Amino acid sequence: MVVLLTFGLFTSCKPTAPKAEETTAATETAAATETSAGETTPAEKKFEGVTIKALLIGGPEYEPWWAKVTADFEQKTGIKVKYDMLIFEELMKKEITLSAAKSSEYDVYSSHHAQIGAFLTSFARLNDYLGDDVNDFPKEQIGPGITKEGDIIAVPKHTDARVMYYRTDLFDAAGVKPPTTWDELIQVAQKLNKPPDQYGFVITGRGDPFLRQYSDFLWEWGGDFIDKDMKPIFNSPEGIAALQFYSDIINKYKIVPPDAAGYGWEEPSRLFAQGKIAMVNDWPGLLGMYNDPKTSQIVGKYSFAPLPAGPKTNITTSVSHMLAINKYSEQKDAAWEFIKYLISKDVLIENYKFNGQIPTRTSALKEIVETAVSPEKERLASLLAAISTGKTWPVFPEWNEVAPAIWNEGQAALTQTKTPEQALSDSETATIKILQRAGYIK
Amino acid sequence: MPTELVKQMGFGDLKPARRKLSFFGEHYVPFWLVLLAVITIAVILIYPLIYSIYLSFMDMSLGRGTTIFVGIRNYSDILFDDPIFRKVLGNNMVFMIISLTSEFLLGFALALLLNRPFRGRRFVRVLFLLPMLAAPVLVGTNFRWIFNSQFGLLNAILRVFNLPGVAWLVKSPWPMASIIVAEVWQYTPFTTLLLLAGLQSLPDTPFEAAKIDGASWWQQFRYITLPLLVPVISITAILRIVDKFRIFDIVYVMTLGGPARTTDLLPTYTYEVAFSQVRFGYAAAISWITLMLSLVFLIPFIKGALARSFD
Repeated sequence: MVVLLTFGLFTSCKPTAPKAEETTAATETAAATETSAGETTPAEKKFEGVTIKALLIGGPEYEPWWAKVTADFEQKTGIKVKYDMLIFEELMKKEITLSAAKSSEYDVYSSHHAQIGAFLTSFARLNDYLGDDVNDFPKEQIGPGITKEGDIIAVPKHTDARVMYYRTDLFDAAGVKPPTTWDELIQVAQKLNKPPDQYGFVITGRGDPFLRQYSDFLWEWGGDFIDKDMKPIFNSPEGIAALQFYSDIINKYKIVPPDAAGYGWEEPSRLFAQGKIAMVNDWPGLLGMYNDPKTSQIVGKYSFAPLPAGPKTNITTSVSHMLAINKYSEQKDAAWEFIKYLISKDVLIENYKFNGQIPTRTSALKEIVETAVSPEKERLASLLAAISTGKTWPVFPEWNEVAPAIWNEGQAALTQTKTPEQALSDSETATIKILQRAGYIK
Repeated sequence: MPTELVKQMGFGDLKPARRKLSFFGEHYVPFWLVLLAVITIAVILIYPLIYSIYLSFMDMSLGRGTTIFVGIRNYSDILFDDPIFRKVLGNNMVFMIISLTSEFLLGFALALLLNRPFRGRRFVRVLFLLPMLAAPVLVGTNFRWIFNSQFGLLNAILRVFNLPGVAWLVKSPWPMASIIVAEVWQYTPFTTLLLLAGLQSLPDTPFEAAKIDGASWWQQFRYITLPLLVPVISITAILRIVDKFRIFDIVYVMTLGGPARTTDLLPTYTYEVAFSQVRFGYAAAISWITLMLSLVFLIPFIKGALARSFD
């Protein structure tokens, strides 16, 4: 379905550089074409007066939406939602702590494909709540939230994939076009590289953000992490070549700030918003920050393009943010009402219009695609191209041990304290130990 | 016999008064006053300690929902089969030795300076003690931005002198140096405070006698000041060594233990094992081994701390 939608978008659109007022016009046009299905009938106030507590993902791209949607939800259902927010890495750690303690403090949790394996026995079963509605979610996006016993323990809300944001003013001045492959990206970035005030590109280098970027390189170079027999296969010629290229971006071509090997998600976004970077591969939710004059010096000066392809494939990361009910919650029914509201088609479309997050629900995505106009059409086309070919990491409980084993050694390659061969060999040794201890391999 | 005399004086057959044994008597008031605090601390401290010991002998998998007894396997794996633990331990030793030495050298110098009378001494003392009052997280955040290669103050100063900027938090060996600088900046005032208190409590007599005998400043410092300060130095060293095995905030905020574990210390590694790898049993075992190691480093200073200074 996503492939068909993407094809439709690409054959009907012509890329243009979006300006802030055009983006607003696009949103208003889309709003004007909204059907009466966008108006919701007030839900029966069965749980009026009940208060639930939610632990939700935070960050500048999420916070305003949570404030709005919880107020709307309370008005419609009478259920008050008290919520706390944490940025992604801290959110996962807090949820791990609360789950290990079997805490009933929160009723609803934000979750994510990334570490869902750690929560397979800590989230409540949603099969009966979801019913046939499960068919309105793509299998590859809801799959990570299903245990091998068939219990659905989390539902996807919005799907993330990265696009290339590029500076239209710098590209026009240099007479270059957005690159379609990584080799082209190096050439374009070198033309736009004027350190230390301006760099052609920027990249992440530590922790989970490093592993996300390395995943893209690994898949695009034709490799993968684990095979179907649970054996690690990333220490391969493809894996080594991918890590070497990653290191070369920082150390050989020098088209990124010199301390990029220490960057998480925040630094690339902030540097691009400050006007210091010509291209960045970033998440859709950053649109709000890039369009806000209070946080951005590049309003109206950028556009979107699909991520560059590698030598073998154009497969990159596509993951969904999910919602779950705490297994130890004493208000599961009321908690489900909140989740049901957040993943309903109308609210998902409203969410998308608010901050550009792409709904996972197929019917909501279809409506958005059908009503999109330029320049939003171009952004959607780029995103859906990535989502349609997207992959995520393997989902099993011990992935949380494997991930640091790869990202720490990988960072050693980026900082040139180890060669890519040594780094991946050491990661593989650690990974084999982990998988042997867990009983997957002998 | 006194009792016979008492009888003759007509006071009857007096027996010595017996102390009434009552737990509600005046003698036991302090006991009751601290009992509530002791119970609270016992619950907060002892229960987690016991649970932590229990966990250290378990393999707890949150994802599988299982907790399996594994005996001493966690401990043996850490000590004999975990190259990351050995690397992290090495990092912690380097961090401890360099930062402790720096804090003592700077702390002593500052304490000697602040022990001399000069105009504005009180104000300067307060100023020098301020870093100690800041939360470590804020100190780490500040230094993270000072050392930032794009926006940081340090590279901005270097550029003024046409010197190239340095990736302080990424390029080896600067990440370790950066966290040491932050740690020394924050805790040298603590060392200064204790050493200054020690200096101010020294008796005048030995110094007067030494001056009369013609001893130089250095000779007085080497043969009188230092020996008399052994208890204070020992206590200060004990307190600071304990903290070197507990440091977390500064490292977590500045480098997250990176790049590539070059600044990973025992507490940050324990945190990663517990909350990223979700291996609570293994993390509990690391924390107990860390405690034992810290006790080993305290041993040389315990005798000095218990010594009586002015005999």
